[in-house]
Amino acid sequence: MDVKKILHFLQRNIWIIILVGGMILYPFVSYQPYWLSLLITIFIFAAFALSYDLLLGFTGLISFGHALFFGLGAYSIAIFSRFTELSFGSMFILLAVAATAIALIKTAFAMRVRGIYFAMITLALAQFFWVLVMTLSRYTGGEDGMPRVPRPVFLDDRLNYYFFALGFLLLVYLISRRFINSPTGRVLIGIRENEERMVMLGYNVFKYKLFSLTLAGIIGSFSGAIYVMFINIAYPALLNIQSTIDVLMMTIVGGVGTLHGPIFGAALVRLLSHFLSSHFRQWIIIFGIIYILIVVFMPLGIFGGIPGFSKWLEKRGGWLKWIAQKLKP
Amino acid sequence: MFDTLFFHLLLNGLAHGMLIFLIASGLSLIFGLMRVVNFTHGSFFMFGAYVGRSIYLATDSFVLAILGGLLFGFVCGGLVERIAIRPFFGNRVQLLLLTLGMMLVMNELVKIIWGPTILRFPRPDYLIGSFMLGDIILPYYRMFIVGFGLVVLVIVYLFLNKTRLGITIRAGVENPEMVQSFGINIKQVFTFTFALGVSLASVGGVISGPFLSVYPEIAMDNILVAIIAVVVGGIGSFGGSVAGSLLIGLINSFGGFYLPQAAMAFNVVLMALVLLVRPQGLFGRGGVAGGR
Amino acid sequence: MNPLLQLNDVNTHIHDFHILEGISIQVPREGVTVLLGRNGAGKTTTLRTILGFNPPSSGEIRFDEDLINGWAPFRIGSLGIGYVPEDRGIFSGLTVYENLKVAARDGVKEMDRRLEKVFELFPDLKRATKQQAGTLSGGQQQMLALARILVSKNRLLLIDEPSSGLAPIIVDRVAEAISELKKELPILLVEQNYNMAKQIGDNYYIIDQGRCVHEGQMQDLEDKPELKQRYLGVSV
Repeated sequence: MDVKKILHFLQRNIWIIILVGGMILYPFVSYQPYWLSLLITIFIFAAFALSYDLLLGFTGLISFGHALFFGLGAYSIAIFSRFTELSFGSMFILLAVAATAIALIKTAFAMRVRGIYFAMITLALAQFFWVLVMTLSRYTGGEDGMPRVPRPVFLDDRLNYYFFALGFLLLVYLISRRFINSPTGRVLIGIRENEERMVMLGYNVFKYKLFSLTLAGIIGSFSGAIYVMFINIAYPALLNIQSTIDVLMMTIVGGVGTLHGPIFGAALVRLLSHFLSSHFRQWIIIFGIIYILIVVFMPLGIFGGIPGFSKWLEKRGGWLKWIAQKLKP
Repeated sequence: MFDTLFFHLLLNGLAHGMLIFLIASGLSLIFGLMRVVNFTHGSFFMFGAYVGRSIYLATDSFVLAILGGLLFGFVCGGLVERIAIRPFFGNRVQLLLLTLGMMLVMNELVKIIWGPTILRFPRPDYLIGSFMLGDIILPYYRMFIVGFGLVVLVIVYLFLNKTRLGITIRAGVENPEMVQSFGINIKQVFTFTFALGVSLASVGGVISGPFLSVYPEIAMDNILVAIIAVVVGGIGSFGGSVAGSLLIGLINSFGGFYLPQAAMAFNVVLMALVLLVRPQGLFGRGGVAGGR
Repeated sequence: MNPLLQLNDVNTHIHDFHILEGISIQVPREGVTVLLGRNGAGKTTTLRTILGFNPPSSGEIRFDEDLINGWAPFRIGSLGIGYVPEDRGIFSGLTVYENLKVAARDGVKEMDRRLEKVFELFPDLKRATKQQAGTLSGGQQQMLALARILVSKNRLLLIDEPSSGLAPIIVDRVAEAISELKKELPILLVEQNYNMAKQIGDNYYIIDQGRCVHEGQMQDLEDKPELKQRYLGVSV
């Protein structure tokens, strides 16, 4: 019985186990600091992109201000560690509280405005914080940012940070998967499909949107915090529109409404920009063209763009079918 | 109370407001009619500035630069609509992501063609200098921007209210299906409106050049401000885009003087307030904010 | 004489839903043809399919000599098919005159020539040409919707539920206006209000679950209470 269960678990998660196993073994096979660093940022951005997909792909909320959470995480750690004596644990708890508060504000807006209006107001909210960071330079360093952000001693070792980031991504992935497949997640997908119907069925839409935005906010802000502890500097660009565009691209390129999509999207975008930026001065233009081609020809993202894969994904659930229909040219 | 500083800030704000209006009016019409958020609008403003500058430096005629900017915008706008918008019509998410991508490419392309640094766009001789009204200094060029904006405003207003095509565009904002039932090819109306909107942004870029100089970041800065102006005024409403733009221009000018660096925050707070109190915008019709 | 409009075994899908399941109707060159049936039977979709808004997935639609299925809606409109949707489709931010101008397919000159007669039929509109259409009453909006069809040379008029949402006294006036129109134009009418349909209709089709289940002369329907009760919910 138990063996059967374990086998079933292994079968279901075979690709994840192979991937995670490969990632765990990698540093022992080839220890190159440069590649380790790159992989660490990939893990962190993958978690960030995943949190974005919880909103875009699974709740149907188009946010253009998700970078706000990332920046919130980054600046919280930077500011707390400079001006207070808090332990890292309490910093993260406070950060989660702050992210929840902002999620509450965003939910209030999400109840009032929809679609492109929500996109605009989240964009505006993020820009507002960006301006705040630029203006309150006494506390935030303004345009120069806040260098010398500390990290827990055990994370000073790059290999430890590597496993820390990998563990964080795995945790985020498992929580997200659990969340999507929970009754709450199903309700969210229902809201995405047809909000009026869910209201009529008696669901408290506010509560569910708050769940989704809070989870996405906490994951997003933790990603920002972990990123800033790795690169040791918090700077304003982390929370402006460019940062949101980055995470949007990772999600789109990988595949909206899939949990694997954003992870692979993040990997692809980071690798591609590393490769392109070291070979071409105007690499963003090449990147932009690739992005356009993906939006045009693979609206399901690279993950969904491979015909066999997309069929397989379509069979997996109604939500992908919905996205497939929405995105069909 | 009405000291010289007040008039200086007023003229500055109106000039800024008119430039925003030239972007926002097209953005608003395009969104109202086609439900497309055209992120390339700011990029065409920027391209207009570069193209206008090149024409001016080559021909030494500011009038030709303005006409060139108009034509450039109209042709490019028409092409973009036909090639990149029409095939994806009806899919708003894809279009949103597509124009976003085109914006990124255009903003980089300009660096390849003209370099990433700030370029000076000299004013024509007849627009250098200031008009003195007692103690009040009114620079000719800023007055020119306000006057030019007013002329465009009146022309577009007359077009939208007096010609059948203009009336059709307004009708299409409300109900494109009904417009088709009257035998009107709405796709042609779409292409024309897109081209018109882009040409307004592009000519706005040309006249902004001597005022703000020419550099790649004006694309991103202005698209954000224009979107805020459109949302504040009410999407799809021409009057709303005028009011929203001037309001934002004046807030930037006065707010920026008394609390520098916080001007953008003012805009954002204004937009948040408007959306909370009146989600359809100051001049918008009810119900629009609910649409996806 | 062959009919003006002919639908042969037309199927229409909207997203995954099969709405029209093989509709065949014929609209003669004069008189009022009424589509009857319950809510959701497919009456409105039939009109929208004819107009090209929901193009058919199979079957043929013939208007006079032309096979029009698959045509863009504006081409179908140009043939001279006027449409008054259930919500009237008024451009509420435009003035009454501007509403007419958008509809003036044959040019403003032709419109002005016809306008006198239109205003004779709808005197209310004449007084309100400069008024915003959104401020008109429901009945006046219905008049404006009909007037928009009359400012161009049209050959067929599709009207969807002209009585919906109107007070009984206004319904009578609308019915009067349509009776007036039918002297000049053949009309395909969708109507739930059986009394109104009886008053102005000549032929009828009963549509149920995307199919035509019955057809005939309007006056004969009076003697078929079981049909009326079963498909129209009219109590005997």
